[in-house]
This record gives sequence, structure tokens and C-alpha cells, in this order.
Amino acid sequence: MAFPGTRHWTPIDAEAAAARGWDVVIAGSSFAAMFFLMGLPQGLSVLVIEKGPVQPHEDQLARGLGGAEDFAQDNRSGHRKDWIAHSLFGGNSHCWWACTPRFHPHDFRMGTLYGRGMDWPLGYGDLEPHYADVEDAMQIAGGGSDHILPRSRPFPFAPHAGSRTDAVLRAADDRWFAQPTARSNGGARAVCCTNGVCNLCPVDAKFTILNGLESFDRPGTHLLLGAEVRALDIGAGTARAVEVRLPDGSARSIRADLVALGTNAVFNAAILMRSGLTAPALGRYLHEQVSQMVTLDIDRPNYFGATSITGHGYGFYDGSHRRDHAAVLMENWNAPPAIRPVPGRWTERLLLKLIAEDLPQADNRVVLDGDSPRLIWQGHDPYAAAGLAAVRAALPDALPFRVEGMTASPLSATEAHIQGTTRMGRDVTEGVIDRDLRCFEARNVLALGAGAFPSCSPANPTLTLSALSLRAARVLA
Amino acid sequence: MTPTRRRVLALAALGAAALAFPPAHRAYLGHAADARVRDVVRAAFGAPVADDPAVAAFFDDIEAASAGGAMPEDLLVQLFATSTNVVRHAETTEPLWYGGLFLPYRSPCANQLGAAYGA
Repeated sequence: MAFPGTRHWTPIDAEAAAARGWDVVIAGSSFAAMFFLMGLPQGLSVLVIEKGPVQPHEDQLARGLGGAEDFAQDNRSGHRKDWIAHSLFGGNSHCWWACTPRFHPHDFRMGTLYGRGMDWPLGYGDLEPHYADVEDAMQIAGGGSDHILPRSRPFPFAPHAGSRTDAVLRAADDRWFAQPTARSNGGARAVCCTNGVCNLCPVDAKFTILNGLESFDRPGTHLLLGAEVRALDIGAGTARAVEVRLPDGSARSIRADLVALGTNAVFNAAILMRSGLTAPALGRYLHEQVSQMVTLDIDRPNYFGATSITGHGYGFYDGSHRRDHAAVLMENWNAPPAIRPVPGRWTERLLLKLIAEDLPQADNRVVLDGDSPRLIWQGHDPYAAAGLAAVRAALPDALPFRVEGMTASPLSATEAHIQGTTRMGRDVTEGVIDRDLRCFEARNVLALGAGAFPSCSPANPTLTLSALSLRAARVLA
Repeated sequence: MTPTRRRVLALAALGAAALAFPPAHRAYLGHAADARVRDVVRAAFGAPVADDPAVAAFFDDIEAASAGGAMPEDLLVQLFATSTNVVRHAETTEPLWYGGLFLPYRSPCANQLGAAYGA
């Protein structure tokens, strides 16, 4: 019987999986793993291995989302720091807010343009067709951003209606436009209806791997649940098998011609370390964005937009300031609303999330503590906080409103993005993987996901890591 | 859908066991201290709104759903603004009404500040 929601996936147990060889083994089942599967050439035997269970949406609503990881961490930053990951089928696709901006073309060239960090070994143009295909699969709603983020074809669906402040912002500055999102505005899923709790959507309106399984339904795919990929058997620069651990503590070896790791940037790094890889960058450059919410009392009414986050502002994103401080992406939040407790002026309040890029630092890293991953966290680079401070200072004069008051939240403890531990580079002295996500030290091993990012970008990583996976699979053909 | 119909559906979704909210709901609703709810609403929205019989059921529903704890004032204000048409009432000629507590996991798609309810 096929796995529910598919016609072609065959569930398999560890004994059966270990009794044969596979053209491709994919570890993990979230965005990176599934978009790699989607791009593979036809005719291959593929085994997907997920250590967590399947938790249907109805069960998530009844009991809360399961599978939360609790990473061991030496936090030396002086500030709270959390890293969010869920080990279950579909991974963090269940808890994301479905914000899907592309990276800015200049995000890939930070070293050359601004002397900060390093360039990626590929550029916006290399990813563009894959971005568009991921947007189709996720049924993204968006529009009005082409002058900053060029596209080869329109978004699959029109943008959600903006809030009343979005209308004013867009009329004043074309660097404000609708946030591209996988919160549905048409297509197979229920349309988003502004509940404002997108980490677990009550009506299943956002794209998840579970409600989007049709896009990944390909013949020859088998699914092994409840097995954790721990290491790879690598000899002479080639992986021969994956070593898995089962819930009872026993182990199995599963033969594979090609291995793609899509388990997140902590576990991918740990697997490669256990497998004996020694690239200097392996496990290092752990990073993510840092953000804060800013509440502004203004002289114009707000809200009545059609989704939780209705607007994106790029006025403080790209430019020569990136030599000195971080790019900042602004989100205009429509739901849940921040109500101004003044009779008659309840909606005259603007809630902006400011998201700054970080500069990856080698000392922020994943190490093996015995056999388990441990995170060493020294803190974000001051470059990020400087970017946020610059925006807070400039914001009251940059908005087309009279700002009557402004408060800012503390910096966020997490963005739920884990990036940078298996970074791309030109060679093994610079990175762990090449532009096609292949490990320099084991050419039939790919490390998927945001671990591949050599630099941060203030933009949410999901669309980019998905496009990278899709491209990496397609270049195998 | 009429406001009354929305309220009935919302209350039906709330159910009889108002205290038995699953984890995802609990964090959103919290617990209101019943005695102070009307004062909070009065301060934020004014006495003519807070004391209007059209929204009296809001306070009944808060009382039914709470356990005497303290829901933060800003969340109470948000709940009133998303469960009633107070904004449209102030900006148009629409009579004030209450459509049931907007609890995303109990009465989804009823956010009165969403696009579906725009003036």
C-alpha cells in the first residue's frame, strides 16, 4: 500500500531497506530533502530515511507539534539563544510561517561588493529557474517585487490584499511590496484567513511537506521511518553506505550509490564529522538572522489585510551601508494586530519586524561531544545589531506617517533558521561542499539545506535552500 | 454570514468545556481576571462601547472561558478588537456587534480585523 497522500511511495522497514542497494539515499524529509527528491532524474531507486514519525495536521492541532529537538549548547554570548528544529516527517515545514522571499542578487556577492564575508560560488541567475519551480510547487502568492528580485515568470498566485498601511507605504516607496508567501491565496489549499498563528495554521493554509506531498510523488521512492542516519561509510573519497540507528538501539548499514543529507545544519555536520570528514569549515560558521519587533504609533489607520504578514520593505536592505552594518528586511505585520489602547485610534499602530543579516563567524560552531552534537555559540556579529540600530534611528523619518511613539522589543532569541555549518566554497580550504552541494571529500555525498549558506542574507532561507536542492538534483542528470 | 450566525458558530466551537483547551489554544487565550476585564475594555475603547449591550456577551464569554487568572491587558484589548466590529463601528455607520470570541483554533477565520471583514 502506498504511503498516504502519495501514489508511488512505498513504506519499507529497516531490514528490507538494508537487504538491497539504492541509487540514492536521502536523509531527512523537510524542504531540502523533498526538493532534492523532486529534482532527481527519473528511473532511480530512492530511499528516504526520516528518524521521526508522521504527525497529521489534525493531531498537531489536538496535541501540539511534536518532535522538538533540544540541542546541547555552550552559549557564551550573554544572551539567550535558541535553535529550533523538529524531527518528524516534514520537519520544520510544519512550524514555519511560510515567508518565501528570494535572496537579493547582491546577497550572493557580499565579498566582492561590500568586502564582507565571502561570495557564493553561484549567483542569483543560476538559481532563478529553480526559484520559480519551487514557487510553483509551494503555490506562492506574491507580486510587485520584480524590480528588486527579477523573475522569469509571474508568481503562481496574486498577492494577498495588503493592510491599510501597506497601501500608504507602497504609494510612497516602491521598495515596499507584498510579502511573497506560501500562505495560500489560491490553489489546492484553503485560503489564508488571517488567523495570525501561522506556526500551526488552524486551516492548513500554508504549504507543508505533508499537504504538498503530491509534488514529491515519484515512482521508485521508498520511505523508512523511525531510523536515524548517524554516519556514512566512506572510503577513498566515496560513500558506500549509510549507517542508521533504530529506536531499539540496533544499527543497520544501507548501501547507496549517492547520499544526500537533508537533516538540518546541526545533524548534517554531525553526520559528516562522525564519518571522518575533516574540511576546516565543517561545523563552523553557524549563524542565523537576528530580529526585533518595532511598534510605532502613527497617524493613519492600519489592518484589514488578508494574511498575517502583508508587506515587505527593502529600503534598508541593499546598498553601500552593508560595508558598515547589516542589511535589514522589514516585515509589516497585520495579524495578530497590535491595538493602540486609545479610543478611536485603535488601528493607528504599525507593527514592523526588522530582520538583520549576520556575519558568519568560525567560532560559532557544531562540535561532537562524544557522539552527540553540541553547539558552541559566541553570539551574533556586532554587524547585525548595528544594522538594526541604524534602522531604528532612521525609521521615523523614513516612513510616510507621522510617528508619535516607537518602542522596540529585545533582540530575538531565534529565527528558527540554522545556517552555515557545511558552507559552499571553491575548494576544501574554503568550504565543505561545492556549488552543486557535493562534499569535496566525498564526491557522492551532498549536504543539503541552509548549512550550505556561505553568507546570511536577512531574507528567510527556505525558498533559497529549496531551490539549491532542486538545482543540485537536476545537475545530476 | 450574519454576525449572529458567526457568534453562534464561534460559541459552538468554544464548546462546553471552556477550560479544556489543548496546548496550542491555551497560550493564546490565557486566563482573564473577570473583574478587571470590563475596566480594561472601558479604558481602551471608552465607556459607550464597553457598556453597550451589544457587546455584553463578550464579557460573559470571557468569564466562561477564563479561570480567574490574569490575561495581559494588551491581549484583552486585542481580543475585543478582533471579536467585535468596534473599528468598523467607529469608522462607518455600522451598529456595534459582537461575533463571538476570536480564538484562532476554536473559531478560525473570524478575525474582525482581517480582509474578509474590511469596510
